[in-house]
Amino acid sequence: MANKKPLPTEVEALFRAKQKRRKELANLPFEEKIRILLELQNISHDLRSAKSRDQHLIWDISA
Amino acid sequence: MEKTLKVINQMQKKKVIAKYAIGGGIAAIFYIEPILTYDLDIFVFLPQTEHGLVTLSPLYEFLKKKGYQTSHEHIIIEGVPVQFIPAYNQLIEEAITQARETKYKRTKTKVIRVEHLLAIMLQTDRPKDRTRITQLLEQAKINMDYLLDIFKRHGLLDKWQRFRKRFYGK
Repeated sequence: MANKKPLPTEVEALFRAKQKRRKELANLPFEEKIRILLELQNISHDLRSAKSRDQHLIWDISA
Repeated sequence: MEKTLKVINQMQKKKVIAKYAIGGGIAAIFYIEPILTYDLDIFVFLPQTEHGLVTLSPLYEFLKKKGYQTSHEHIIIEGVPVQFIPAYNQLIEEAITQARETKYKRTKTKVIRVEHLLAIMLQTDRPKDRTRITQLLEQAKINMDYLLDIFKRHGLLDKWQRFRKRFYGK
């Protein structure tokens, strides 16, 4: 079994900050999260459009 | 999404569906950071027909009459691809019955409780379910006693122990 090397302090701190940010996002109001979801769908759509024919239906709403 | 939920509430009022609750990725978003998903999954109890059958046909007929179009397994309601999933086992039935009432903007709706959501994901066990389980465990407030009781009652304790060992080493 491979030895697990401890992460550098800076990286540990970065991971902790990311985790904190995720928890903050988790606590946003539902409506705000749906607004972010629409942004994610649009970003994903733009990326996929360039490369693939496999398209999902993005939501046609204003949140 | 508010307009979509209003249509679904109207379906319940008109007894096209009996009870419903939001599940899947959108229910997960209710509890964790926003994640990419494209469907609004609605778990439903369907009313029985006069022949004692439970079928999605009246639901689709109702929506088609209102002008909503289908696309593969979805029906697009006010711009949102919705998938209606009839309660297919006791866990889903319990999840719908015990769903928590909330509001989206000014519209009442129901979302599956986080503990049931987690149990459904463990039962379904696709790669994306396993990812979402870890996100729920890390970000959501979970009543562990209630969760373990659900696992026990629905025969998921062994699977839960295997999951914990695999992803958390305990």
